[in-house]
Amino acid sequence: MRVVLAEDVYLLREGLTHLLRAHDVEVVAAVDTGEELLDALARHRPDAAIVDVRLPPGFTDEGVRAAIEARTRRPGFPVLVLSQYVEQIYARELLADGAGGVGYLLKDRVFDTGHFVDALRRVASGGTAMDPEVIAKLLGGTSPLHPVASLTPREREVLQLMAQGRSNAAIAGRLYISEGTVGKHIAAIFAKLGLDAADDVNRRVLAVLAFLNRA
Amino acid sequence: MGRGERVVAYARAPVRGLALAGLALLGPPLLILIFVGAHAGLPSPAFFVERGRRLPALARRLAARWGGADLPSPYRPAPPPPTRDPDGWYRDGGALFRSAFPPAYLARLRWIFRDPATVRDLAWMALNPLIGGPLAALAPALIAGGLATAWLHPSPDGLALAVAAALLGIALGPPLLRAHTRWTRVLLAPRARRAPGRVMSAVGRSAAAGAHVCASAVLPGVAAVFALAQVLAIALMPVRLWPETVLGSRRFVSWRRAQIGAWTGVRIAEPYRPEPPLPQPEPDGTYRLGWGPVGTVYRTRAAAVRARRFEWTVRDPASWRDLAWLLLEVPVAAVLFAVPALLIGGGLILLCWLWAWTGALSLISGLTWSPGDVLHAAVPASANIPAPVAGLAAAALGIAAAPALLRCHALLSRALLAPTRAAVLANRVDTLTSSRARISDAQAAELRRIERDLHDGAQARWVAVGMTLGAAEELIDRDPEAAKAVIAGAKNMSVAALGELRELIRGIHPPVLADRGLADAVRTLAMDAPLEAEVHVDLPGRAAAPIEAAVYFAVSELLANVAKHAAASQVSVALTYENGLLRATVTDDGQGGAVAGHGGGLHGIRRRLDGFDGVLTLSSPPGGPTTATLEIPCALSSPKTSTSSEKGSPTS
Repeated sequence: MRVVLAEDVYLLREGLTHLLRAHDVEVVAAVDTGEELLDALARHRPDAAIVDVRLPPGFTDEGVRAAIEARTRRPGFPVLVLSQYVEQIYARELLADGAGGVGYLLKDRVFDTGHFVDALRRVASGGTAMDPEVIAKLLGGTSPLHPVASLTPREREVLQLMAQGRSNAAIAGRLYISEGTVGKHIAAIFAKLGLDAADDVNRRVLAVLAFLNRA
Repeated sequence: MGRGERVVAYARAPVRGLALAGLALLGPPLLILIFVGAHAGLPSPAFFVERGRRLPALARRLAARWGGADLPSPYRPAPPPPTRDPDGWYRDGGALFRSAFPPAYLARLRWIFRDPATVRDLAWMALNPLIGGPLAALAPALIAGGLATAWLHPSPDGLALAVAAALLGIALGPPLLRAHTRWTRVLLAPRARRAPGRVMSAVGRSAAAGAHVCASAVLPGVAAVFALAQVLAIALMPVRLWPETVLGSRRFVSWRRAQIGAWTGVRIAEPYRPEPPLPQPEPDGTYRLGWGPVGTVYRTRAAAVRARRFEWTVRDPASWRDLAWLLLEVPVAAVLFAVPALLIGGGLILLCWLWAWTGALSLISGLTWSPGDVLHAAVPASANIPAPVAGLAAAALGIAAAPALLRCHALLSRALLAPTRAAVLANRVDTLTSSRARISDAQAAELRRIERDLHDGAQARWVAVGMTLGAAEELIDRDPEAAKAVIAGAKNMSVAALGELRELIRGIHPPVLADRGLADAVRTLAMDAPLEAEVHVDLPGRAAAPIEAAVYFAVSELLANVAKHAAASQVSVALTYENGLLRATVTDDGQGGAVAGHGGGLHGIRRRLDGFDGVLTLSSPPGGPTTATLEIPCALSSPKTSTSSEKGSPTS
C-alpha cells in the first residue's frame, strides 16, 4: 500500500514513516502543509493519505480542510485524519459526503501499532475508523428522547464498536461473544433505530454514522 | 335541545337576568368599600381587596352555570408563608424581621396588588353596572313594563303593547344572557397569553400614557414630602438626621429613575458613590477621621460611623442634585402635568363615569344635577356638547399630549438625576479597580490550578514512565518477556498522561475555539450537550480571543446547568451582534425557577464576564422557559482577516 503523510512535527513524521514501513506500507511522500499534501496527492496518486489536523501556516484546522478538499477532487479517496484531540464537528464534516474511506483517530492510537495499521487498511479499502472518543461524544450528545436511549447497555456497546468501523468478528472478539450474537444485537439495533439493515459491513457502518450525525 | 328544555330556557332567562342585574348593582358600593377600607389600612389593604374578590368569583360561577362559559380563576397563587432563616430572622428583600408577621403582610400586599387580575376585577366592578347591568336587566324590564302597562291601561291598545313588550322580553332573554356572559369574560377571564391586536395595543398604550401622566402629576407630592424632610433635617440636626433622610429619598428617587426609564425609554443611570468602609479603631480605641486639611478624634464607634456617613452623603454631589430635583418636582409637574392630568381625570371620571351614574340615578330619584352642568357653566360655548363627548375629547387631548410631556419631564429629570461626567469617571475608576483586582486574582488562581494539575498529573505520570522504562532497560537482557510487559505498562501510562494533558488544554483554551472560532466552538458544545440543542449564529466577524473564550466558557456552563437542573428536553443557543454588543442567549424549555445564587456556576460566569464589562441576565419564571442572556460590549474584526479559510486551501 502507498500513502502520503502530512505531519509537521519532524519526530512524529519520521516515527510514523518507520512504523508504516515496518508494516509494509510505503510512504511515498511526507509533507508538512495542506497545499503540499494536495500537490503530492496529485503527483503520486497514493492509496490513502494520513493527515494531521493542525498544519502550518495557521496551525488550526488546515489538515481537515485539505482532507475534505482532497475528497472533493477524488470522491471517496481514503483519508485518515490524526489529531491530539477529537471534536464531533470535524467528524461530522469528514463523514458528511457519506462516501466512506474516512478515519478520524487520536494520535495516541498510534501507540497501539497493530490496531493503527488495521484502521489504516480498513480506511484504504473504503471502510471507516472512528475514534472511540468521537463515537462516545456522538452518543453522549443525544437527548433522552432520541431512539439511541432505547438501546440496552450491551446493544450500546455493540453500536459503539460498530460505529468505530469494526467488523462483526472484531466486535465478537472484543466483547467475548459469538459472531452470531453480534449479528442478533446488530439486527435489534437497526430495528430500534429504524434503519434498513444492509449486508455490507461498510454500508452498514455508514448508515449508523449518518444516523448519529443527524442527531 | 328538546322543545320542553327550550321553553324552560326562555322562561328562566329573565329571572336570571334580574339576578345578574342585582349583582351588577353591588359592584360600585363594594368598590367604594374596598377603596375606603384599603386606605384606612386596617387590618391590611390587601384584606379588603381579597374579600372583595368574592363578588367577581360569584359572577364567574354564575357565568359558568348559566352561560356555559368556563372562567377559571385568574389570580396568581398565594405566597407561601415566610420561612425562618437559620440565624432566626425572617427576610423580605433587603429587610430582616424578628417576627413572621411583617414579611407575610408585605408578601400578601405584593401578591394582591401586583396581580393584574386585581385591576381587572376593580375595573369590572366600576363598569359592570353600566354594561353588564343593562344587558341583564333589559329582558326582565321589558316583561315587567309589559305587565305594568296591562295592569294600568287595560284597553285593547294597551294590552297589545303589553303583550308585544312581554314577548320581546321573553324572546330577547337567552341572547342577552349570552351577551352578558361574553361581557363577563372580557374582564373576569384570565388574560389570554396571546399578543394583543394592533387596535388593542394602541388602546393599551394610550391608557398607559394617560395613567403615567396622572401618576406624574400626583407623585411630586411624595417628592415634596422628601424634600421637606431633608430641609428640616438640615435645619435641625444635620449630622444625625440628614444622612438617613438622604438614603430614604434615594430609594424614592431611584424608583422614579427606573419608572421614567420604563415609561419613556430615557434611561437614567444611578449616580451614587459606593458607601465607604467602616472606620477602623486606632490602638488606643479612638477613631480618627480626616476630612480635608483637618481631622477629628471620635471616642465611640457610633459617632465615627455617623461622621463618615455624613461625610459620604455631603460630599456626594448626587445628594445635592437629588435634593434640587425633589424641590423642583412640584413646580415642574404643575407646569407640565396639571392640565393634561385634569383633562384625563376630569374627562373620564367626572364627565363620563359620574355623568352615567347621575343620569341613572335621576331616572329613579328626582336628582337633577349632572356633571355636564358644571362643564356648561364653566365653558358656556360647550352648552350643546353632551358631557361624555366633551369628556372623551378632553381625555383624548390629554393622552395625545402625554408622550411629549413625559419625555420632556424625563429629559429635565435626567439633567439632575443622571451622574455628572466626573461621577461617571469616578464610578468607572472604582469599577475598573475592583474588576482588575478580581481578574488578577482569578488569573492567579487559574495559573495555580494549571501548575497543580501539571505537577500532580502529567509530570508525575512521566516520572513513572521514565522509571518504568529504566526497569525495562535492566530487565531486557535477563527476561525479554517481562521487559515487554513493563514497556507496555509505560505505554499505557503515557496514553493516560496524554489524556490528562488534553483535558487540561481543553480547560485553558479549547482547541476547536482556537481553530474555528466562537460559532463552531458553540456548535460543538451544542453537539456534546445531552439534549436537543439548536444553534443560531449571526456574527459578522470574530471577537478578540479573550472575549471568545469568556463567551465560550459561559455558554458551556449555561448548557451544563440546563442539562443538570432544568429538566429540559430542548435548548437553543443564539449568538448575535448588534450595536457594539455581542449577545449570547441560552433558552431552554425546562421548569424555570432558576436563581443566580452566590458561589454557583452563574456566579463564576459573572466573575469571568466582569473583566469585559459583560452582563449576565437571567429570566426564569416558574414553569419556564428560562433564558440566560449575556452581553459583552466589543468590536468584531472583519471576517476576512480573522479566518484563514481561504489561505489554507490551494488555489490550483
